[in-house]
Amino acid sequence: MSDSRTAILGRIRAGLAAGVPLAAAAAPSLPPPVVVDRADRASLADRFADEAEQAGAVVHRAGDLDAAVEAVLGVLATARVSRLAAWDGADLPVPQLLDAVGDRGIQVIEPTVPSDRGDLDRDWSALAEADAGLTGAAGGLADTGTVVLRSGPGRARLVWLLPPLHIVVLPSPFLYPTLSAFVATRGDLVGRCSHVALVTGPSRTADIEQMLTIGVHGPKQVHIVLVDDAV
Amino acid sequence: MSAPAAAFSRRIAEALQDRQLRLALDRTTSRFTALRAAGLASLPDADAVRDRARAIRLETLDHLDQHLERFEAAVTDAGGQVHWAADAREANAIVLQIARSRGVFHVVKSKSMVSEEMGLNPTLIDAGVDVVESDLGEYIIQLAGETPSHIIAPAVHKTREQIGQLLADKLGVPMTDDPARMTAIARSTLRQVFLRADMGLTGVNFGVASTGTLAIVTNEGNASLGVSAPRVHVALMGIERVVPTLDDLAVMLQVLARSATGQKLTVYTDLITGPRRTEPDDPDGPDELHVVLLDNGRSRLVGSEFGEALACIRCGACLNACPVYQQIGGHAYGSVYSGPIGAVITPSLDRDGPWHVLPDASSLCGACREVCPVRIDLPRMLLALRADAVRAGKTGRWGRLAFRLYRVVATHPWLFRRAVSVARWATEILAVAGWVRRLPPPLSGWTRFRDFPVVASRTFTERMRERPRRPWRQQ
Repeated sequence: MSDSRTAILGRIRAGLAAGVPLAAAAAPSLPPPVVVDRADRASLADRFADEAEQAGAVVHRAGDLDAAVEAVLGVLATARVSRLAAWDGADLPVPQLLDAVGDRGIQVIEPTVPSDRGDLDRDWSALAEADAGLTGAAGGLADTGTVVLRSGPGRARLVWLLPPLHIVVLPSPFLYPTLSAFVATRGDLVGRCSHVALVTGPSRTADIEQMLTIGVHGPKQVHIVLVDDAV
Repeated sequence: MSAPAAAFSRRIAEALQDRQLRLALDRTTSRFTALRAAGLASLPDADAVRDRARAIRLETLDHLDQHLERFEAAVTDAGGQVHWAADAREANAIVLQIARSRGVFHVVKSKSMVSEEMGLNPTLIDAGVDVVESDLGEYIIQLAGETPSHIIAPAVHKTREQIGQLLADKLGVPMTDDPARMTAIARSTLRQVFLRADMGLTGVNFGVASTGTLAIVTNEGNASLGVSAPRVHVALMGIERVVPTLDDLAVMLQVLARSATGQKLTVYTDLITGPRRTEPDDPDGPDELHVVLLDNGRSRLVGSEFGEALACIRCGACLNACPVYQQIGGHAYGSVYSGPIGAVITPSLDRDGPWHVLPDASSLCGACREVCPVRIDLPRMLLALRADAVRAGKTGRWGRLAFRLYRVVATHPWLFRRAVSVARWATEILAVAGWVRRLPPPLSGWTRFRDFPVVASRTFTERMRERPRRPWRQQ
């Protein structure tokens, strides 16, 4: 409705021309984003783990890729997972992970992409029946304990949303002190991907008398495997 | 008393007599207030961040036309479509047209105050489109056939016992007052709705002009699911919700969740830029993304003395802090937006509605301005709206007469002194132990709920006159 577009913009311009600017006084300039020495990975990782646990996630520290595989298998075993929805192996920070999962006899469900460029069938029942979802983070925000996830061809969003348990692998070089620091460095991801999600702990609500309840629509449990040595 | 004032008084009286409501409000608003304080305390240099957040909002509003054009271009570049709606009716028509032309029968909706403003649900349901609210609070409200009473906690007016009974009645599940059990029931019921839906409807917390990104926050993950499973995503956005860049968005997100619930960041902050990508294909996400930009009176506020209200980020902190809201809750206001911000934007967005009485529901204590993450001067605008109502002749005849009389008395010192003596004489006669329990009409309204003090035996001017002149010379 281009008529409304013209009318709305016209009213805004008339108001701006007639009125006094709201930010008349010299606005305080933005303190530059806090640039913490990213070489100081140990303290960033400690802060991240602390904040993520406060938000209700479980953090597993892994010294190298093998330890990361063991940590993921440990979570799967504890939760008795038999069906795992997962991102494409190439999109997981630990390449050998899906093979190791398959070796344990766990069924891996990968969301299908139409090869013939037809419409998606949007039958999510297989994904909805998965016991857990496995993804890899593009970033971690230390001051809030947040993992950054992004959609893409091998990276279905429903994998981090539908199953009751979400396991996400986060390489420690991907840690940033704040959201501002992440955006300053990797803001390009936001434009490139249809969906970038900042996820902080498990799904929760307090809509009934402000009483905290975990696991409304998203996962009840979020396990973050923080790999110190991964690239 | 004018008709709107009488209706408002009646709603307030009903709210004050509703024990369940008072209990629910008491349990929640105080908790929100404490959580907010703790949340802001966790932010290093919170005052500087709030100043910056305010500057971002005001600078954006000062160039709103340019930012909206950039936003529109960026959304389009990313493969989305932008629709401009001058009012609620046009916005409803746009959504309905999208639904009809795409063969949509099932809509899953996440919380959107703009959709409440539009009255969207009845429009879709009348047209045969099934709409289910997915935010737990909104779902409860929809089952009860009510409207939200708080910007971020729509079911805040209900006790857990009432909600348990509602679920038992509507869904045929066993009665429980355990929030965890009730949440599990809602999860399994709504899971089927998400998987079946053709369209996901959401609001927009911020639209980023430089990238065309929609930032949508929820704690439950319901918006995330709603924009991932269905084939169409329709996002409803007020024209004022634009921010220039991702850097600015990061600043706003630092104060939004902290002010709303005390969290450092909402559990799910979804940054949506266009529909799902193809070649190569994303395995999920919507095929189409539509952004409906709603004006509905907002553009008229630009440049006016109420323009600052457009800086609001809808965190709800002013509601929880307001001593009036704490007592009467959201429904008594009778409007979509309640509390101090509702009392400002409702009458200024809808100039012809019966809303001029809402700014009276304030003690002007300033608690709202104190907690506002972008420091909106709500008390100033509440006063300006009261003045507007008087100038427009919307206030009651007796009230106007009383203030006219007061002006005559207050601008004639001899008359004022006489009036004070009369008041002192009268209150001394009526008082018991220094307090007047009951004043005669028309002043009885004051003493219905509180006592009136006896006028001081000597006024300030009298005492000044009795003091020795220039006392410092006597030393």
